[in-house]
Parts: sequence; structure tokens; C-alpha cells
Amino acid sequence: MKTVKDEQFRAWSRGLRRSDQRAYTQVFQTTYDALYRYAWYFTHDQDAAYDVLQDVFLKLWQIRDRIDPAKSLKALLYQMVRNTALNHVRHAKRHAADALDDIAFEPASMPRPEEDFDTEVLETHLRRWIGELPERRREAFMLSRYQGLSHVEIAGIMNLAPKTVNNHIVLALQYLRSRLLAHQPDLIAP
Amino acid sequence: MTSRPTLPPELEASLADHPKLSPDDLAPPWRLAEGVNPLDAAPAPDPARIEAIAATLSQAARNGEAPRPALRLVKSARPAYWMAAAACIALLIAVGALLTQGSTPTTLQAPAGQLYAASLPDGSQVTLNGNATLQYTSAFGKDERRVVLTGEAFFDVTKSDAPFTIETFNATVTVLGTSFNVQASPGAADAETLVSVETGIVQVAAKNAPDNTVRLEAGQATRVIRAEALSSLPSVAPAWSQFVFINQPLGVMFDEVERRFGIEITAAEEIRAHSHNIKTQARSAEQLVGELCGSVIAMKLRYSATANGFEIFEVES
Repeated sequence: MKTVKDEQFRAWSRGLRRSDQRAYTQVFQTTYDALYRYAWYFTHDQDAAYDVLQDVFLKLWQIRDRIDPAKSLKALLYQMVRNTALNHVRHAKRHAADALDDIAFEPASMPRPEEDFDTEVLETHLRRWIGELPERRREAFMLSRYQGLSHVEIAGIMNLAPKTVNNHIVLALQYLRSRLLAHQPDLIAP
Repeated sequence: MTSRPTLPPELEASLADHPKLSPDDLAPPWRLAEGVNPLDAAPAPDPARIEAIAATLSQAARNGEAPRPALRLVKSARPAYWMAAAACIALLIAVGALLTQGSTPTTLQAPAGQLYAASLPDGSQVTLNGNATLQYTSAFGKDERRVVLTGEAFFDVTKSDAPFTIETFNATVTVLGTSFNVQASPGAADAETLVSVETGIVQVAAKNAPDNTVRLEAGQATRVIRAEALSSLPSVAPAWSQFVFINQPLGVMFDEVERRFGIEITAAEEIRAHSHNIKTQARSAEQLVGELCGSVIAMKLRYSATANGFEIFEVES
């Protein structure tokens, strides 16, 4: 999905507005993996993630005549998945406030000290450090680094000001840098 | 680290608000963080579930409305919370039907051109071919397991003392635990029900002649034309279509091809002993033999015509 060009998404937006079922199918086939994982990130429940995916795409077809081709369809899908998944979590937990806090993130286990600082161990550390980021900072960083979304798109998805997204991503990287420096300064050396 | 790592332009631009940080500071963590996406922790999506969702979506897009609830209830282990209202309404209707009729029918329908796999309440697995419908009531599973089929479906029936019965427009198929294919095409000009058995034993009767039954074993098939059950499948069936075998020796399949087309197939014993799966539609013996040879991966099989059939042999790969 990261490799799909923005132009392709615009073409699909126009196709959806024309009720083109092929465009609808192609959007689903291209995006389901990333969107399912994003839904799971909130629900931590596979059945719920499939339900979110299905509901979002049924909704997408219902609102197809109102899709704005000038806006990012990709961001719209992420936003719909996010809202639907968080709604699900809220209902499941009853209290909206608990929902965000309770999104589980399991830090990877600490490597044994005698292990070499090889790629695998470094990745284990990085996963843990990313897990230590505040929830929304981690999400903004994840959408930017791994989902190929622009800061403006992330701002739309997470309902934040673009400047806030910038800050989240810069501060996330700064935190990772500080942890890397403490652990393995030579990896950071220019 | 020979080439200097770089930041995406957008991120580099946003550093204007952070004068103490340079792109060189943030580029290494940006690069090193590749491959540790938190979303990778999610279990990979199950292709069958994705396929079911895709089928539901294309159905909804065709109809321009929400999908049939039966499809959703079968696929989803438990209804989502935001579906609760819809589920309550469905339940009320269901209770109403229960009071008036005594049993609630459930209808499963496969979208056109797509297979639809479902589990029945007793754990039996059924795969519906495109446009096929299967109905059963809430009485299913108590003393008997009765379903009504239009179109084609493949059944893998869980063993139970309660007999499993499939009704088509003109035939009744009874079984105790086996896998078999039933194809019922009431609308066609040559309206018929075709039953082919893969494992176990199945009994088939014409609806209006219930005493006239045919017992079928693995690899056997029968067809019910109009209302009369044939005593067995004719050795040469001119236009049979389904050919389904799961984990059967090739020899058993060859025997079936011989029987159906009235030809002879010769093959070495090690070829005949090889177990294989195939589900195909074939109109001629040669087409079927060709498909069989081509679908075996473990051996490179070829065939040549003989005076009254085909010889199948293995070639060195």
C-alpha cells in the first residue's frame, strides 16, 4: 500500500464517485492488509478487526458520491478505520477515557547482556523504545514511517493540527536518538 | 554507512521549528527504525476471512444496500457491538417467526461466480458454488439434519446418529458422515440432480419414489432426472460435468473415467497408487485425462491415445 501512487488513489476516488465496482474492489484488495493491521492495533482482537474492515468498506460504498477526489482517499480510509476501531474499543471498555490508555503495547523482552549488538537485538531494542513513546506520538510516527502517509494526511486521520504531527514525529525521532546514543553511540556517529 | 542517510523532505522541512536539531541527528534513527513497524505485530489476515469480506462487499455494491444478514451471521463468530441494534431486530423477527411457524429458516446464498464456505450448526462444512442457496431451520441438528439445496454444493458431513438429509427439487440424499457433491439444477432444460461421492456412503432417492434408492460408495455418482432415480450411473454419461476427488489414488479416478466414458486407461501401478485431489469440469475423456495429468505435481505425467482409450505414463523431469 505504501508503494501505491497518490495518482492511483485519485483515480480510484473518481471511479468510486462513478459507482465503479472495479475501483471499489481494487481499493479493497490494495489496502485491506494495512487497514486490517491498523484496526487490530486498536482492538487487539482479530474478529473485531475483520468487522471494522468490513464496516469501513460498506460505509465507503454508501458515501461514494460524497468522496472528494481532491482529498486523500488513503487518509480517509485510515481515518474511518481509526474512528470505527476506537468506537469499538470504547464500547468494549464502556469508558472512552480508558480506551486510549488501555491500548496494549507489549514491549519486546530485554536481550541478554552477553548477546552481540547485532541487527536482531537492535530491532528488539527499537521495538521496545517505540513502545515507550506516548500513545499518540507513537501512532503519528508509525503512520509516517511505515504507512507512507504525509503529515497533512496524518493530521486529518488523527484529528490534529499538522504542526502537532510534525512535533510528534520529530520528538519521536529525538527520543529514539537519545536511546540509541545511550546504547550504541557508534551507530549514531555521523 | 557509506552514504549519508537522509530524511523525507517533509520531515526535514518541519525541523525549521526545531533549530537545535539537524537532519543529521534524526536521519540515523529514521533509517534504523526501518523494519520495526508496530503493525507487524498484528496476526496476518486470514485469506478466507478476507475473501468472505470481499464477497460481502461486492454483493453489497451490486445490490446497492447492506448484505444479507445470514452471510454475516455465519462468518462472524460474534456480532460487533455496533451491530447490536440490528441483531436485536433480527432476533425479534426470528422470535416472531418461531412463534408462528415453529421453526426459523436460515438461508445461505453464495454470490454469483464465487464459492462460499460455511459451517452448519453441527460442524459440517459446506461449500456453495456461485448462486447456490442452502436453507435449514432451527430444528436442524436435534433429531435430524435436513437442508434444502438449489444449485451446487460440496458437503463434508460430521458423523452423527442424526441422519443428514439434503432435499433438492426432485431428490432426497441421505448420509451418515461423508463428503460428496450435490448439483441440483431445477431450472435447466435437462433438470437433474447429480450426486457424486468422495468418501463414505450415501443413499439417494427420487422424491416421488422414496423406496427406489441407490447406494453410492466413494468414487460413484448418480443422477436423478425429472423424478426417477437411476439405478446406477450409466457407464457412458454424455454430458456429465462434475469430477471431484479428494485424496484418492489416481487408480480410483482412472476407474471412474473408464466407467463414465466407456474407455480403457492403462497406467503403471506406482502412478495408480499416487493420491491426489482434483475438482474439475470436463466434457470429454481426453480433456479430463489431460487435466488429471497436468494437475499432478509430484510426477510429470503424459498421456497418449490407444485403440480404446489412453495410456498414462511418467516422463523424466
